Amino acid sequence: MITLDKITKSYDGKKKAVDNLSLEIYPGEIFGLLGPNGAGKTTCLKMITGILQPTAGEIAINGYSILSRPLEAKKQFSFVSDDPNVFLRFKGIEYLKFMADIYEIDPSVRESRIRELAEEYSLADVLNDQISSYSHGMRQKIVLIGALISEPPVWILDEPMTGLDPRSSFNLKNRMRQHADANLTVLFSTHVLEVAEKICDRVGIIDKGRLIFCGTIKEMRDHFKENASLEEMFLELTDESFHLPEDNNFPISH
Amino acid sequence: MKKWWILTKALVKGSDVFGLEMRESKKGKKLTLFSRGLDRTKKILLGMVIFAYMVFAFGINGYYVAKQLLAMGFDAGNPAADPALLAAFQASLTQLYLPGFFMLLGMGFFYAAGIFFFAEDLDTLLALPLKPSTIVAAKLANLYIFSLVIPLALTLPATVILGYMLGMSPIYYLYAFLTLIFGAVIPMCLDAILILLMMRTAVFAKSKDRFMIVTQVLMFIGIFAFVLSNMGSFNMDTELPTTGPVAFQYVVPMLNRAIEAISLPQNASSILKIMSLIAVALGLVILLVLLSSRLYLRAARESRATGHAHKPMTTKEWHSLRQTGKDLPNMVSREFKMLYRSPTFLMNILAFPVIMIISVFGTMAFSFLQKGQDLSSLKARMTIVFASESKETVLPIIFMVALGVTAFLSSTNTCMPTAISREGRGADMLKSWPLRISTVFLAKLFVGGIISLLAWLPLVIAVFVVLPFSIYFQPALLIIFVFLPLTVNNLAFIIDLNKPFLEWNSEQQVAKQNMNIFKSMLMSLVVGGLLVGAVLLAKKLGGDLIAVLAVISGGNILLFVASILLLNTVGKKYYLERVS
Repeated sequence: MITLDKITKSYDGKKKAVDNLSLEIYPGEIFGLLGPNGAGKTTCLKMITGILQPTAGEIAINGYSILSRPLEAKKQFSFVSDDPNVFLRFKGIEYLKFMADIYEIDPSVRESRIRELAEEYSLADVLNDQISSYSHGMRQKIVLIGALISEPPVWILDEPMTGLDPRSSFNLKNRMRQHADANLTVLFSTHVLEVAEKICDRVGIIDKGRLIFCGTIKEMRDHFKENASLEEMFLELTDESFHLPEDNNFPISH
Repeated sequence: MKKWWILTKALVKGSDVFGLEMRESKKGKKLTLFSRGLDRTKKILLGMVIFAYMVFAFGINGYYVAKQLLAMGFDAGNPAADPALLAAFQASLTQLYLPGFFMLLGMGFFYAAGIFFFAEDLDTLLALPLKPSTIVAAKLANLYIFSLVIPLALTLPATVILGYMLGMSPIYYLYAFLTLIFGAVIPMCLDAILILLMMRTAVFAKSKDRFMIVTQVLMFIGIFAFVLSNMGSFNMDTELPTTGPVAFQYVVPMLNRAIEAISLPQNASSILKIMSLIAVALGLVILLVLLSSRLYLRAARESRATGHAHKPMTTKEWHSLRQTGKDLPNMVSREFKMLYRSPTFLMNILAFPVIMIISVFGTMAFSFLQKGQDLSSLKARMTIVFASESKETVLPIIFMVALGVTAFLSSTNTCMPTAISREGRGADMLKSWPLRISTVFLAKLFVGGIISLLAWLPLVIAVFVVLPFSIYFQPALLIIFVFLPLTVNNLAFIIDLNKPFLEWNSEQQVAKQNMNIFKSMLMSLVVGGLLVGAVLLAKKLGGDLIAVLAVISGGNILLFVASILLLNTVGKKYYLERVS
């Protein structure tokens, strides 16, 4: 479970990249974070993962505060960043072994788990090559495998489908569903609304650092526009001229 | 011509000087060496400081040469009156021009490789409706604009000061300037032609790393060869050169003719000599542009061919996954792999501090030996110093020099001011893992410390072998050589944590165009200055040699401890707040 309590992030003391955002993401659900470019999605994910320090507010992952108990909190999740260009001088296999050590994965399951994931994402043949020789999609896959091998209770994925081929994308979506079905948590950001509509149990829409909607797609339709697609509702919600309905029941945060 | 001009302007504007890559920060500002983090006023001030420093540092040579020539009776109205003085004047001019051109030949090879072969923009440019000659000419213009900085900095201030002090005629300055700007074209063109020919015959994409290592090693050898070939070029009595570096005087064909013209500007034949240099330069440019259509386009396509066979995983390698590792050794091993697997980091971060220290002290040793001295005479001299009463006055000076030199040379270890910057955009991931900050810091400091100790070890051994044993001398010197580099490392790490340079596209940008390296050099001078100041204060307060040694030892250890405390507090705060 991920709990965000009134988190704010300001880089210059004036403009707020994230503004007083509260949110709870429960075990057993896939939560999609949506929003236009520069809305604050990545900043939000970076605060949850301890990369950025919030200016105000509190974040807890499975009850562990990322600020006061960072090590315990970080052992609860694995994170896939939006930039897969990491450890380019490492061989693929070295990176995965490194990640297995960092997350203290039991030696008895390491080999089988890495083999399984490497074959699933068609990387087994290139694990002996340096990551710098990989294509963008392959780099995304190796980072993804690195995050999945530890099988933590919470997955936090920033634009995880970017650069993936259709089969890998399909496999990842399946794994996300299986993870949630096992009563564990998946939080991911995406620009692909079709994906969000298809696999998310709930979505949160961020615009200009503020959470303007949080709930199920059905709730969005009920309170906003019946029979509309997520794309249509998203475009209207994030339009400059749009004003939130003066409806106390409009689901901003649950 | 119009397209050439449009392309040249675009390349110059978008250039990162040596890699031709457009770089933009998240805020949309262009990231360049001088613009990063500086407003307009600060940039102008920084530019003025750098300009003043260059005029002083490189111009002072011209001042001393002029002073010597004037003292020997040089007559600017009739330089040929004394053939010996004229020869000394011409040799001095050669010594002013040739190092700049030689540097350009060496560095230009890298620039040319970066601009013609390793350029990130090549794929875009090849797809545009442009003639190869237009691309080559625009790239050449770009290469020239940035390459000219080297001879302009190394040669121009000294040449102007020399001419002014000698009272040379205005034609001297015209010829000197023409020689500089056209002479610089020649090594640059030679580099470009060589790179194009190599591109045509070799698939560099597969061996880029090896290419970089081999050429950098060759460049260091070249610098050594240049220094060695220059030995014996100076008259010890007049301190003026009698000749240029023998092996390198043909780096720029017709330079000797141009030097004759500069030294005898009133001669009618001088204009022809300058014209001959200009003709060679323009001829090479034309040759290069003509060759481009035959060489460049095809070479650019073929040399970038990639693709290699994958090495499959063996059963043993799969089984190796069952072995576990601890965080700190893993992180240390990761740091070393990042450094030695990158030719840029290998040469500029791992090897450079060692090469720098060996070069500085090696050159000093050569010059010492050249003066007819030997090891036993040095030992004998030092024994006298240690035994005599003058040790109270001489040894503090030796220590102060050792403090200053150690502090500055330690800052040439760029492992720490780039420690976080090297992570690039991946620094984010580092913070999201369940790793203690102290583990990350220790791994980086361990690697920086190893490099420092390896760099200083040969010198420490040499000093301890050469200098006679003294109960006072050696522990204090050991403290200087061990604690001062580590203190400089710690502070340089804090500098990088404060403002890491993470938005880079090539490792060259981190290792060479990183302001944190310059900041850490300045910081090392402050640290050295503090310790030298403490020694001076101790002397002024009437302290004897024991007091001086206590100040040096205590000061070094105190600074080291303070730097550790600072790293543990401010450093950790910076890591949490600024590394993303």
